[in-house]
This record gives sequence, C-alpha cells and structure tokens, in this order.
Amino acid sequence: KFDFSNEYNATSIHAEGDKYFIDQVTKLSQGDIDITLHTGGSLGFKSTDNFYAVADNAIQIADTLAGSMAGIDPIFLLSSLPFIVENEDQAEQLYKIAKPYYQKVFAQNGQILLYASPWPASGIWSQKPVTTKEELANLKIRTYDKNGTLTLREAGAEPISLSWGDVVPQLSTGGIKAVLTSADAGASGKFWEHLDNYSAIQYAIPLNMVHMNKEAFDDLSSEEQSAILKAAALTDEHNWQTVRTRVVDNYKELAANNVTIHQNLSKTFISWLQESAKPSLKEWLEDTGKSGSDIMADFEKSK
Amino acid sequence: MIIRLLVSISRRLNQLSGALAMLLIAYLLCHILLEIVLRLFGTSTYVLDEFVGYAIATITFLGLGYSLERNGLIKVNILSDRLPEKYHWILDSFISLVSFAMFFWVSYYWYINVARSFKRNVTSESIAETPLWIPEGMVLVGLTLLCLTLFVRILVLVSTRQVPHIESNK
Amino acid sequence: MEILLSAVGVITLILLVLGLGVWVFSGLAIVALLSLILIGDVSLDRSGAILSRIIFRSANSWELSAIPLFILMGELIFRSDISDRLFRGLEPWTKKIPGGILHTNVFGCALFAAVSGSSAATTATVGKITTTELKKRGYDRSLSVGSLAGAGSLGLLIPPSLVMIVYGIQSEVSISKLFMAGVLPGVLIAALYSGYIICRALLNPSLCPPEQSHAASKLESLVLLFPVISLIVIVMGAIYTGIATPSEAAAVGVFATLVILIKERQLSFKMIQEAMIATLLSSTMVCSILVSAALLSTAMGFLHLPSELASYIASLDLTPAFLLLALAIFYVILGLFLDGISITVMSLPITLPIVIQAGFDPIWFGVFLVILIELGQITPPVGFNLFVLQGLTGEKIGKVAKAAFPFFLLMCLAAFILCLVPEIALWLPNALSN
Ligand code: NA
Ligand code: NA
Repeated sequence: KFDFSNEYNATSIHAEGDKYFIDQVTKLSQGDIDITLHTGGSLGFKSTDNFYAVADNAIQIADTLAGSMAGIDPIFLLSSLPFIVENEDQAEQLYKIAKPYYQKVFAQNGQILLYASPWPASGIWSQKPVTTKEELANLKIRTYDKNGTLTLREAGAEPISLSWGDVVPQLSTGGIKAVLTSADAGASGKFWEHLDNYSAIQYAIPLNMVHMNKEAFDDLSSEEQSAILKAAALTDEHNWQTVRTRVVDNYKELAANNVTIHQNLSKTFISWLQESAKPSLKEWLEDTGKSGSDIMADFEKSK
Repeated sequence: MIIRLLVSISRRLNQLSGALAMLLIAYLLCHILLEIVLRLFGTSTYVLDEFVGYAIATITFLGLGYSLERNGLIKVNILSDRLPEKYHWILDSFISLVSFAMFFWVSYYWYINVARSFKRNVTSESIAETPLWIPEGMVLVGLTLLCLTLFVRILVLVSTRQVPHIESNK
Repeated sequence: MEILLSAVGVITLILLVLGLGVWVFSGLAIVALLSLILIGDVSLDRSGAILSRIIFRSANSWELSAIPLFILMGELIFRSDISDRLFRGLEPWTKKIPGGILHTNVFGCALFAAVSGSSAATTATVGKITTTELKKRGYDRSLSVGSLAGAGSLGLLIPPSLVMIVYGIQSEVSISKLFMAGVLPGVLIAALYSGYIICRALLNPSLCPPEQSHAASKLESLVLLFPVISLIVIVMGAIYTGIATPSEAAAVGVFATLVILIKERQLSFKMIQEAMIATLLSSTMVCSILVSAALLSTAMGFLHLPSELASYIASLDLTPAFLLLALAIFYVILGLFLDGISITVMSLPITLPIVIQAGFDPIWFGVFLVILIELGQITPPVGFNLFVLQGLTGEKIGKVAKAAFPFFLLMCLAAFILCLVPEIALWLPNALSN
C-alpha cells in the first residue's frame, strides 16, 4: 500500500499522468500493488517537501516540480532554465541527456526516478499584446521562480512574486497586468476573464519528476518491481505525448474564449529575451560545474 | 533548589523568545508594507511570501512556551471542572507529561531533518537562497523551549502538588 | 463499513484526549499520532517523519500572516477609544431596532469579512472590539457570543476567501465568479442572524438593555464613527484598487490604525507593548491550533478517511436532492473535527464529478460547500470560531458552543434556501459577466 502525493488539482496534466501510471501498475501487477493518489496537496505536502518526505518514507511516491528541488541540487534547475529548449522535441531530448544525472541525485538519497511529467511551455498572459521589447517594458508580471524574475527584470519588465492563490484576485483588481505561465495553467484559472492575449514565447518547458522511496521499492517482489518500472517507462512516453496534444487543445480553448495567441514572434524580441536570460544560464553553469557543461555540450551536439 | 533554578531559567528563556516573536510580528508588518510601497515603484523584495512564511512559523513556535507559562493556550476543562481542586495537580501533571512526550518525540524527528539541512546546506530555491536550517532551526528552538517549559511544569506540579499560578502578562 | 469505524474511532479519540483537558494544540497532535499508529497502522518512525514535516509546512505559510496582524489591529483598536466611539456612534442608528448595538457583531463581521479571507481572523478581530463593550453594556452574553461565532464564519463566504480560492483552483472554476457568488448568500445569512436577534429581543427585552438616554445625535455620531469609517475605506480601497493583495490587507489595516492613533495622540509605548503581548498570546493560540489541526488532517488523509467516505456516497447513486443531503451530512460530520480547506481538497476529486453529473453548477456548489464548511467552524469538538471565542471571552467551550447553536441552525436554513433558490448565488456572477 503506497501513498502518492502531488500538489496539483485532479484534472491537471500531472494528476492525469499519475493516474495513468497507477492504472498501468494495477494492470501489470494484476492489482497486487495498491497506490493511492492524493491530489491537491491533500496530505499536506508541497513540492518543496516532497524530496525529503520520500527519502524519509513519509510518503512512498511523489510528483515534484523539479525547480523546487534546486536548493538540494542545482542540477534540478535545468528544465526550468529560460530559453534553452524551443519545443517539446528538444525538451524531451534534454531530459534524456540529463536523466542519468537526475537519477544519481535520487539514488544518493534513497530514491529512484520513475518518470518525468513535463509542463506545457510557459508564455506570457497579458491584457495588452506583448510582442516587442517596448511592450514588455515596465509590465507588472507575476513570475513563478527565481530565473523568471531575474530574466524578466533584465528584460525591462517589473516581475512580481505572488502566491498562486493571489494571482486571480490581483488580476481582477489590476494589481498585476500579466502572468508568466503556460496556456494550460491560465486556462484552468480562466484567465480570459481578465486577460486577452497570450504570447507563446516558449519561455521554458519545466519538468515535474515522479520519484519513489528505494526501500519501499526494494521490499517488492521482483515481478512487482518490474511492473513498476515498466509502468514508469510507459508513463514517461505517455506524458511526453500528452504534453504535445495538451498544447493543441489549450490553444483551441483559448481561441474559443477570444484570447489572441501570438505565435511566430519577431526574431529581435526573442533574441532580446534570450539575451536577458544569459545571466541565469551562466549562474547555473557555475553552480553545476562539469556536469552542467557536459549536459549542455551533449545537448548542443544533439540539436 | 534545582527546581527553582530551572523555573527561572525557563521563564527567562520564554521571555526572551516571546520578545523575539513580538519583534518578528513587527517585522511582518514592516516587510509587507515595504513590499506594497516597492510595488508601486515597480520593484520588489522578491522574497515576501518566503520570509513571511518563515517568520510566522517562528512566531508560532517561539510563542508556545511563552503562552503556556501565561496560561494563554486553551483547553477543554470538562474533566477538571468535575474533579475536586486537590486532585487537579495530578491531572495537570498527566496532561503535561503526555504533551511533553508528544513534542519531545516530534522534536527528535525534526532535529534529524534540521541537522541534515545544515550538513547538506540545503537552501530554498528563491532568489534569497536561504539556508533552510535557519527557519527550520527556529521552529526546533521553539519546540525545544516548549518541551523545557512542560518539563519544568511537571517538576513544579509534582513538588508543590498544586497547579502553578497564572503568570500575569509580563 | 470499516471506514465508518475508523471515523468513529477518530472522533472517540478526540473526545477522549480533549476531554481529559489536554491543551487543544497538543491534544489534536496527539490524536493525529494515535490515529496514524492505532488506526492507520503506520510505524512510529514513519509517523515521526510525517508529522514533524507537516508541523513545519503548515506553520510556514504566507496565508497565516494575516492572523497576527489582524489580531494586532483588533488589540490596538480595543485599547484606544475608537471602539468606545464606534458603539456610541452607532447608538442613534440602532436605537429603534430591537437588539440595538448587538447587530454590530453581525454587521461588523460581514463588513470585516470583505477584507479578511479567514474566519478565525474575522472572529478574533471583531470579537476583540465588541465582546467587552457588549458585556459592559449588559447585553445577553450568550446572544452576543453566539452571534459572533456565527457571523465570524462569514469571513469565508464574503470575498475575499481563502477556501474559495482553494476550491476555485481545485475545481478549475473562475475564482472571480466564485467571489461574486458568495456575496448575496453572505448577505442572506447576515440578514437571518439580524432577524433572529430582533426576534429574540422582541420576545425578551431584558436580553438587550435600553441605551443611555444621552445618546449622540446622528450628526455627532458621524464624528464618532469617523475613525472606523476611514479604516474601512483605507483597507477596502487598498484591496479593491489592487494596491494590496487580500493577504496583505491586514498589514494595511494595522498601518492605518497606527496612523489614526498617532494623529489622535492616543498611541503610547505602554499601549503598543500591551497590544503586542496580547497579540502574541492570541496568535500563538490560534496558529498553533491551526497547525495541529493540519496534523490531524494529514493523518486523516493517510487513513484515506474523507476520500473513502466520499466514494461511498458516490457509489450510492442517489437522486440529485438526496445527493445534496448526503453531501451536506458528510461535510458537516467531517467538519466536526477537520478544518474546511483540508476537507475540500481531500473530498473534491470524488464529490465534484458526481455533483456536476447530477446537474449542479460548480460555482453554486462552491458556495454551498463554503456554507457547509462554515458550519464546521462552530461545531464542537473542533471548531475554530469556538476556540477563538473561548480564548477571547474565557467562557467554557460548552457554553460557547451552546450559544452558537441557534446560529448553526440558521446557517443550515440558509444552505437549504440556497438549494431551493440557487439564483441567490448565481444571479450576481451571471449578471456581472454579461
Ligand atoms: Na472574506
Ligand atoms: Na467543527
């Protein structure tokens, strides 16, 4: 009997993937392995708690935002670095290259990495179109992590950090004018009630990681272990497919709610943003040393 | 003699932690106001919700021993209202002992975690990159102080055989 | 029905441990541990890893910050003459209404709910200002404490509301619309409470003593009410212009209070010191109970208790009306011992799909759910408003709960009316979005 915790709502892309995993496990183990998914952080654990909660066997499996583990090892910041990948193909490639490094950190802490759960790419939700450097200037925009704050500040905007719960109230009063997040997250928050534009700047495709306590895994019979691993591999594949279709669906939903989607943004705007992201990348390369530069070199080669 | 020494130590420590907690309430106020003003000028401290979270956790736990000494923590007195006055100290010793055991036990597990955060230098993922052992450690200090206060309370109860009088506010 | 046995077991443990007289904050933690070990069959080691981490997580919360600051605001107002002037200023307006200034509890809470997202903060702040004055003026204790318990929970229904934000995120409905949907039901409940106070005062005039004859004129009263009115304008203004988030409103409130007190030369070092001590004691009491209630919720999550009970209801295949009744009973029972936000996140993945399938509007259900959660705030053994009022008034918990009971029934009535006339919730969001 395992408890599996995530902090996302039951219809989110992560919870859907986690349910898929549990279904596969049930099927492959003929119902011998009983996993209960607790969505919405209902057990009380947030992403930042998950790493050590799983290490200590408080919970056996968790779905964790990789960036939230950056304080444990900077390697986890990789997937949320701005403007490294341009699309889902590259994100998947980068994940495959970095996977052994992730696995190593988990292994050192009594855990195994089961699969990744990618977020749809993040862009800019805004009242007025944001397609040029000038339109971005002094924009009060809510960001979700350190790199977003640093990058957008560098790019001339006015990033604000707010808890997710405060975002909609602040949008409705005009306290913020824009939000850096995916089309998907904005759709689940019904952002079109306050915002009319979405700029697909492809800021990043951050990953969530699903990890399991190693002891709990070792206690299983070898058939059960292979059922888990097989299900994990299937879910990994499934999630990378889903994220692509999800974006397509999101765009349809946005269009249906009269949100203008700005794609194919000008080269000058994108390269301005990329330029602004350089300090974040540089800092990460310093923090991670050789492993960071190895990953980047491999990734450049694969492109 | 030793009991009296312990009582005064625990009282002093609780006064100190209470004062610190009050300073932190003032800090909460100032940081939020500062953030509101900075936002009007298009900038931010970028760490408001993070630091406020640490502060409120610290306030709650540093205030526990302080409040316990001043009888500020509520309980349901269904049983004690029916019990003759002279047995109250027995009941109080028992509930103090049970509470002490509970929080001593939890503190031990939390200590393991704080020590790990310290040894591995785990930080928050924010701009501040706060070493997590600091806020985690503050909660541990509060829990430890609570345990000390409960321990001293048990000693006083057992040695005087009466419920300690309520500390007036300060 | 193994899960029903577990539920009964947990409630028995709570009654036993709290009944012994263990401090509430440690009692709930002990029940959490005992439930994990005795009912959930979780090892001692694992329980330690779980509970110690949740202690830090639940205390380390940005949303909690409003509690000490709102309490501080209440303490400052209580120690100045603003509260006295408030009541003298209200006299000429309420003189003719049976129940007199007792209605400040209801009206004050409803108004305060418009700036505070939690019921604990609403009850603690308004209660600090009103209970002593009402007692001094000889109003019936039970009616004044009960109305405060009931009206304090409006903090969750009248926007902004922490529970609604959680519900909105979990169920992917518009938080803005939810907020709007809560307004009229909030007004309805306030009206029911005021109506009840009027009835009680008419039936038994001794509950509400006649006011002093030298009451101020209506014009003078405006001068007396000026500080309170400016406080309300400043704090609401800060929220509804987007200068401050609802979570930051408390800091604005303290700031505005300080400015008024400085301007009126009422602020002294002694007053600040006393207010700080009282604030620390109250907020430690409230926050520590919230933290240990989180421990209990986590333990219930590991027992799968709320989710399995909800699944049981889902499996019954009830007609829409009976489904609502079953859910109402389910939430009221869980509300006896769990806090509202935890119940919401644990049960929604199961209850929301069946509710939508039965043809109910998710926004309407959100409002209905919030009212059910408010009920849990005033039911023993674990009711936050009851605890706050016990701390505030020094009355026994049983007495507070008894005083709150009529208001519990009135809120049940409101939930029933909302079922009969769903437009009470849905009219405003629909009207405003078209
Ligand atoms: Na409210
Ligand atoms: Na209750």
